[in-house]
Amino acid sequence: MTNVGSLDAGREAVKPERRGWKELYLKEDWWAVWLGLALMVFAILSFQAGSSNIVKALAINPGGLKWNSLGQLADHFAQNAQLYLCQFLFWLVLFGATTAIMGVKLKEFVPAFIFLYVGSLIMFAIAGWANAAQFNLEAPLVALILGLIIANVFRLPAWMDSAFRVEYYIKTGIVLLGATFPITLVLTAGPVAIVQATIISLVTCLVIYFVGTRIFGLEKPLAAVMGVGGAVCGVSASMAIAASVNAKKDHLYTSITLVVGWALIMILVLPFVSRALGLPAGVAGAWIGTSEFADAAGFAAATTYGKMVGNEDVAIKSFTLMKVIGRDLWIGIWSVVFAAIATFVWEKGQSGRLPDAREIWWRFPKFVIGFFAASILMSAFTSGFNAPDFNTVVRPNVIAPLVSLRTWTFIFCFLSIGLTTRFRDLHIVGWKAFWTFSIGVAANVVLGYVLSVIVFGDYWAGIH
Amino acid sequence: MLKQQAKAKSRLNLIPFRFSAAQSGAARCAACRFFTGAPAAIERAIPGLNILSSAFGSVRADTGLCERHGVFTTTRSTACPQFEGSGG
Repeated sequence: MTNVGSLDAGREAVKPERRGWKELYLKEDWWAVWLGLALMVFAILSFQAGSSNIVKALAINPGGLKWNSLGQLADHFAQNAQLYLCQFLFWLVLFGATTAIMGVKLKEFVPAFIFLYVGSLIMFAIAGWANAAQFNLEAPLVALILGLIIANVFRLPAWMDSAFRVEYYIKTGIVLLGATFPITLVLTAGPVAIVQATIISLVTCLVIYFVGTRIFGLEKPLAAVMGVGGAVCGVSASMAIAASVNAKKDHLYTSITLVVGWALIMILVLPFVSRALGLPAGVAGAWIGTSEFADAAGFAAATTYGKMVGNEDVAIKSFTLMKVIGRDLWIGIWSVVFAAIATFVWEKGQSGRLPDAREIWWRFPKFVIGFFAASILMSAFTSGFNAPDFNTVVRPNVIAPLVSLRTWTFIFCFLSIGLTTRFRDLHIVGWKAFWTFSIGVAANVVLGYVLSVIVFGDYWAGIH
Repeated sequence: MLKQQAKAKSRLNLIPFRFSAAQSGAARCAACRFFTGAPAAIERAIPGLNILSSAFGSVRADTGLCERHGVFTTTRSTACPQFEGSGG
């Protein structure tokens, strides 16, 4: 049961981890909030000072180049070499310093981030090829597949994971996304997203739990860990529930394998199925939001579909409403519910941990606060401009650079998913667990389709 | 410390272990040498965790891994009888 390597790791952690104000600089959720908001404020202040060119320069990328020859691409990099160098240093300092504060070793982060940045630049360059769309070379798909190949063929050292911080990049991107998300849309669409997310979260969790325990006879903690993982936000949710029900290490391994496996399959399948069904971008985004487990995987699928149909913004918006605002908020609630069940039902009060309602806040994904704050602040700032001024002045000088910075964080994330997915590290799972989770996935995808396309279809199609 | 543990033990038959221990201020998992709570250590201990998740996120809160029993618990959980202080 005890493994020597991890015991050694455990000795570094003998000091109790305390909650409180330290979370503001020790959790990546809060750093995503600070970085996202700081970038947004910087863009606004630069605009007001008449120096938007600084932000535009930092946001440079070759994704929109539409190059036809390698010479054209080489010219672009030759002409903008200094800008790319500045941009690299900018990202390196931002992410390097903040991850170092959180406890990541800088000497591991720096070389790995150089690799990640260069890789991301190549992904942008591929996506910027004039014929990329014709061959479905969407940046998220290319980043994911090339990352998978590199990680599994060339065996990158594990320490490089220090810079492949999937969650940190996507959370920062989500806060930046808030800056381009009108608060009126959040307020009008939020209730529908929450209703749909509630139905999905309850049904998926209960299907997995009851299929697992009643049909396949799985241990209750394992069924709970898989159920909440499938219903809310994948591995993160599984880890949160694992503590509530005192799940075993193997239970989380099982959840990791199943979540990662199905999430990757759905990144590759859902955009193409949505295209075959001719779904509008808003509808497909909502369907992906109800079907994918992890935020990062879902954004990869939604972005891919949005690029396929030339409406990336809408696909991302409806996905965000459904997944980030709707489903992710359920994690704390499920933690308390399962802690109560474990304490009072499974173990009849003998050894379960006392449920604590404060967990709803402790486990709340704090980057969502940054998303709302960015949306409110940017909506307040742009309310002072009429439509023509917004489109000709604010959009190119403030919004567009922020969108580009967000795209950078997304590409860092998508490439990191591939680079961290080493199939040899994933544990083999039993067929009972496999079928339990797969039935849950099927229920999730079918119900998600019914809700997104039939029940609320008109609503999601109207998102713009 | 011994006094506290004795106090907790005396209540064991009357109310559930964890409830009584929590009230008596007994040792917590956080202070046990078998508890892995640092995010980097958790990610090293569980390969694959960082693919679509992170031990550095808010959702994990204070969840950690008990290497003695191979189960997940939190820093707040009351220590089991196999508790060994991190100093020893």
